[in-house]
Amino acid sequence: MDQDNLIERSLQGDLEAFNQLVIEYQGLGYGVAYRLLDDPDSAADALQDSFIKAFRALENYRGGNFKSWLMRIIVNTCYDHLRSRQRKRTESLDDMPVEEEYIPQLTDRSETPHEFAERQELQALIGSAITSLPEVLRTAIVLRDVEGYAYDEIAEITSAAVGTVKSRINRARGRVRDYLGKHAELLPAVYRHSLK
Amino acid sequence: MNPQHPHSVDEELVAAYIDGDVTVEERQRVENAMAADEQVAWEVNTLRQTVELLQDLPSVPLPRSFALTEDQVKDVLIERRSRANLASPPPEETHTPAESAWRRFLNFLNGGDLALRNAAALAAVLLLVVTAVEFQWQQSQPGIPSADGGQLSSGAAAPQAQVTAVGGSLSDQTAASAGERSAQTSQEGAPQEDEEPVFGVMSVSEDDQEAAAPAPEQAAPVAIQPETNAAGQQHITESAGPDSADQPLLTVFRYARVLLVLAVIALWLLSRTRSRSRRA
Repeated sequence: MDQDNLIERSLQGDLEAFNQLVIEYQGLGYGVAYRLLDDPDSAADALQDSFIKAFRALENYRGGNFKSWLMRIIVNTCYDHLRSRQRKRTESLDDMPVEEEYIPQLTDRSETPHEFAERQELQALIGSAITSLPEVLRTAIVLRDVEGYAYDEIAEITSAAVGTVKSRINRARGRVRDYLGKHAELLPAVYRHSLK
Repeated sequence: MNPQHPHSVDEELVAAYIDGDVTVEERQRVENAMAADEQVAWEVNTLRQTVELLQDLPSVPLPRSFALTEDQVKDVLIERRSRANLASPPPEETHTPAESAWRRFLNFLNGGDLALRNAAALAAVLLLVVTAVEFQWQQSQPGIPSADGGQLSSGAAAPQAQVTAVGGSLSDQTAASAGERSAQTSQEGAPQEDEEPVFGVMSVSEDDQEAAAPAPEQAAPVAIQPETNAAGQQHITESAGPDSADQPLLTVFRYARVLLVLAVIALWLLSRTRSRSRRA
């Protein structure tokens, strides 16, 4: 159905229309939230909050790219959750990464248990590298290299110039590379020597 | 990348080069720098490998649906729905395109003030009753021509009488004068030789009707001139003699019908007007 029509109906109190938009964008939104927060529960909470905020703020949407408008809300809500988490950071069990969430990894039946374990460690390492970045660099690299957004979309989501976005992406890549280089023993052989 | 380095390229260009988002000229610049400086080449290559690792990350499965429930946004929903209801026009003013003409007709009939509309319906029923009673009464009194519609039925009978009475005269006035003449004749009690005694319509014999029939070209104009004037009718009726006592009853029926027709129209229009003023 036409997106503008769904937005118009949502503005008239049609929750079913808004939920069609939710269904369309929840996959993209969860991917970004998960990579920014590196925790499935926090990502789910942040995404749910984001959709509630978006529904409440729908009057402020002035046309244009709805996806970018929605992703901006999701990214900002993730920032709020990050800051909130940093404030009350306690070393509780809830804050530990839940590695069992990587369900798709289990579907590749061609790899041995050893290969599976290595790949899981690598992905955890990359996740840690991303979360080690400052917010703006983290957002830039997740949107560009993990989720595949274009420069102008990232610029719109983060309210930054395209040149700034490119610069942030390059710096973020450099920091991730440096982080991975410090844990070269976990990298695949092809990367191990070159990144060191 | 070190900006002091002689073969340095800026970080925006490196990012764009890795993503393949550069012009031919920009590509050449980066590749020249990589060829000239090993450090630049390492920088670009390791960044490219990092991007490959990031792009290899699997997509994350959705743990559940994030569709909102009414409770989560109840306050906003109430506000928006009430605003939307206020903005929409009253239901009786809106007609969907799919609404049939019959439906619109029924809506039109059902519109208006209920009490006045019922009064109009009652008047219409009374009109039907009066008309039916009058018709029955006329059937039981064959000598009485009907009052208005009767003009057509009497138009068939009276002209025949007129034709017979005046020996082929076709005009109404002639018919009237013929009626007068026949009345005079009956009063004088001296019937003429060549004229049958004529007592209005009732006095017309079948033979006379048959005699009148062979002259259709003469009778036809009479048939298409049913507007026998009231005076003429009156005359004929009066000339009926024995039925003149029923004349007041006929008049009552006539006035009752006219009044009831007016009442139906007036009450129905009033009901529509009152309904419209209430909506306004």
